[in-house]
Amino acid sequence: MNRPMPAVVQAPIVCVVDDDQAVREALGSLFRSVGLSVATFGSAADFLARDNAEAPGCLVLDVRLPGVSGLDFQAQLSGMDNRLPIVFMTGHGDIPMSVRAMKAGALDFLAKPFRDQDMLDAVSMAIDRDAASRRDADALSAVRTSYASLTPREREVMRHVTAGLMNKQVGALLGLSEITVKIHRGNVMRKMGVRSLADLVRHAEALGDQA
Amino acid sequence: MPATTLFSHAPAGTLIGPRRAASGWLSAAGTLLAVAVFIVDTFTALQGAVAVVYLVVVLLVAATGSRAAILGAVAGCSLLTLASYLRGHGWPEPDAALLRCVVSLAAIVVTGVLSLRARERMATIIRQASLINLTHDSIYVRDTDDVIVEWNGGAEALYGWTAREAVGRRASELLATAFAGYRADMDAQLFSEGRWEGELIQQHRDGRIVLVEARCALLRDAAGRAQLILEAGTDITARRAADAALAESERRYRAIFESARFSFWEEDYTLVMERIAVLRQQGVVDLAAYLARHPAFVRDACSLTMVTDVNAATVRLLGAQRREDLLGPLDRFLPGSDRTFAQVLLTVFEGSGTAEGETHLVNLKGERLNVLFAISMPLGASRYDRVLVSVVDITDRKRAEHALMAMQAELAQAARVTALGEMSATIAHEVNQPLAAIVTQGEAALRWLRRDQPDFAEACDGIERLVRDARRASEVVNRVRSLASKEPRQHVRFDLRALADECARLLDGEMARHRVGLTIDMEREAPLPRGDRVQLQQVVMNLMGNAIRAMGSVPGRRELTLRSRQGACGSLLVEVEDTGTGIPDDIAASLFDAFVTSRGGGMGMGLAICRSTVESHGGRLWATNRPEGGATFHFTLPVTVVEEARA
Repeated sequence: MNRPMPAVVQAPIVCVVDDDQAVREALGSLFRSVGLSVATFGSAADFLARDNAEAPGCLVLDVRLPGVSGLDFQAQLSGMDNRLPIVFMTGHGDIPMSVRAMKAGALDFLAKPFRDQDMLDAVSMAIDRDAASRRDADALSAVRTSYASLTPREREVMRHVTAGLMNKQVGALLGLSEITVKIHRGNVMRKMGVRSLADLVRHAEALGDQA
Repeated sequence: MPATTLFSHAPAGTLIGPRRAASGWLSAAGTLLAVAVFIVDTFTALQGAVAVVYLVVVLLVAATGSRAAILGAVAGCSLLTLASYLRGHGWPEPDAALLRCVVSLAAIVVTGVLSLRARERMATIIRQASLINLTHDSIYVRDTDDVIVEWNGGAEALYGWTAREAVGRRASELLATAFAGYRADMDAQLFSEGRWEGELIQQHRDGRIVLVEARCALLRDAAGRAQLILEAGTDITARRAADAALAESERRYRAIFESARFSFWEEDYTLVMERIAVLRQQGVVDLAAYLARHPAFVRDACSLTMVTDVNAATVRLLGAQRREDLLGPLDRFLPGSDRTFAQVLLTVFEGSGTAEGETHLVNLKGERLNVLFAISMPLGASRYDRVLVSVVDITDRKRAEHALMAMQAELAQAARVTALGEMSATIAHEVNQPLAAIVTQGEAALRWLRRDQPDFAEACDGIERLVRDARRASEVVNRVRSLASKEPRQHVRFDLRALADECARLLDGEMARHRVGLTIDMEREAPLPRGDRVQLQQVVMNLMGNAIRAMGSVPGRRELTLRSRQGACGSLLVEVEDTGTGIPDDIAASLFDAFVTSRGGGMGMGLAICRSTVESHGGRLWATNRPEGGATFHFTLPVTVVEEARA
């Protein structure tokens, strides 16, 4: 099989970005006490410069950061296609700020001092969300890889088949015999790793315009 | 007729002096004549009364006017007569010669006596004439043909003509007399009643016109015929000019008074001055203290002050129809509790002439006007019935000023709120950050301990950090506190009375708006407190402002009293008292806490700041409700060194 393996499943890491060392230490202790891996950063720049940038997990972010505000940083990350879920913390949360953060995709918005359970729940949810989105991303990436292995003729056949045309119609359209279309179709099914036409259609939809 | 007959121009003492030379000649002539008569009488055989010629000698000598000469002549002539008789007849025998001799002697003596008497009368007349001459009035005598016969020094001074020049001339020609009325009328009155008085326009020798107030008298002879006219005159040119200048000045004053755009008043202070004079007689020296103790006196004085005239601008200012509507007692326009009128009374009392200031007037429509006034008491005058007061309406200016001030105050308040908000946010963040860490750290430690296999090492680390962070939070709090108390303070001795007056002026508009009356009752001899004047003024302003607002909704009397007394233990006690709603029970306990307020727009910082200010000065601030309604805020200020007070 030519299908690429999904990335090695790593333990999720909770990244904490807060300029206050005491807060970082306390959160580190809290997350470790429930068995989570933690990486703490004093600034947004430190976070961006981290080694294990692709690691799954979530980001616990203070709204007030030195240099750049947490909300601006959120926007910056989003622009960089970094989909790490964010849990915001704020010393003095106000409604407009939290609304803006949530609209921009923040998972939660906790006012300091927060209850430990609230923070753990928010982080746990964020990790699950990250895991799910990573799975989706991995799946899509597998479909893309498979699609890339198709010959141009096979892609044409796939496009028409998933559009709902009969083998005969496809053959007529492409100037091929029905038998040839069937062979191409079998190759497509095999290369895309699907058993049914329904699965192929789903993959085609996931590929969207690329198909 | 010689000019010097009567009105000699010599000084009185030397009146006879000019006659000395003439009298020498007369005496010599008399002596010669006497010697000649003696020779004829003695050595000729002329029978007859030759000695009678001695009478001529006596008369000649008498003309000298000397009493001694007359007596000498009488004695000499008598002796010569006797000598001639004895020489011619020997021892007297009763014959015709003796008879002639006796008759001659008798004639000589009688002539001498008559001469002496004539001389006396003459001297009296001359003395009187010289008195006339002494007056500054011009006196001249003319006959019925208007020809001048007498002319004194006053006339010479008035008209510039000497007696020598004037006598013999026609008076009306010489003096170019013009009459206010008709000459005929004057003459008619003069000849019927014997006298006339009036003004004449005459001319000085140099052509200058002189205005003369003249009095004429007609002298008649024994038969009742008009003989001479005596005219006495006084130069009234200068007086007339002064009168005219005065009238002109008065006219101009009137014109200014009437046409000025400023409001002018004429007020009669006569009754007030009488009352003040009575006070002086009663030994009142410190009127300010007296007025403070007797506010009724000020009100009475105000009602005794009469408006006697106002100009058109005043009629407009006070919204009257006619000027007559405004005449009468002044107190109609001055509210009863007016402090500035007391100031005017003090000015009057101290005799310092002018007073000026700012006050409120109530016009006929009942509107309050802000005005500046200036009043000038006639300095040292005995009459106070026309005192001029000028008034400028500054209501609009004041209103704008107040609006501006209110806006500034609002801005300042907003700025304070913003600054306070910023600061509290900063402080909150500074404190919240370690608190958040502490809470999380504590919770994490608990979780380490509650694990199936508790991790004490982790828990201890966490708790250590927790303690460290708690210390940090406490440091933040301390830092904030020291920041707040770092403000440098001016410690000076200041006059609380002046401070109170300043506050009163600043809050004048607000008090007027809320119709609040202010009484400042400060012990004059109270020691001066020491402290930061600006901060303490803020305290007084704040308390007064609260008091005014507390009375805003009270229907009845609105009285604000600012009082100071010597307190216990060398402190000064200041009280701000109102007749407002009092302190509600529900906030009485927390009145001085921050963020406690009974006002919609208030922040609840004022009293908290007041209390901390007073306490930082070593004093105390507290509040009580008055049984009769309203609240009193009391605060004390320590007065450490008393002796250097009022340096």
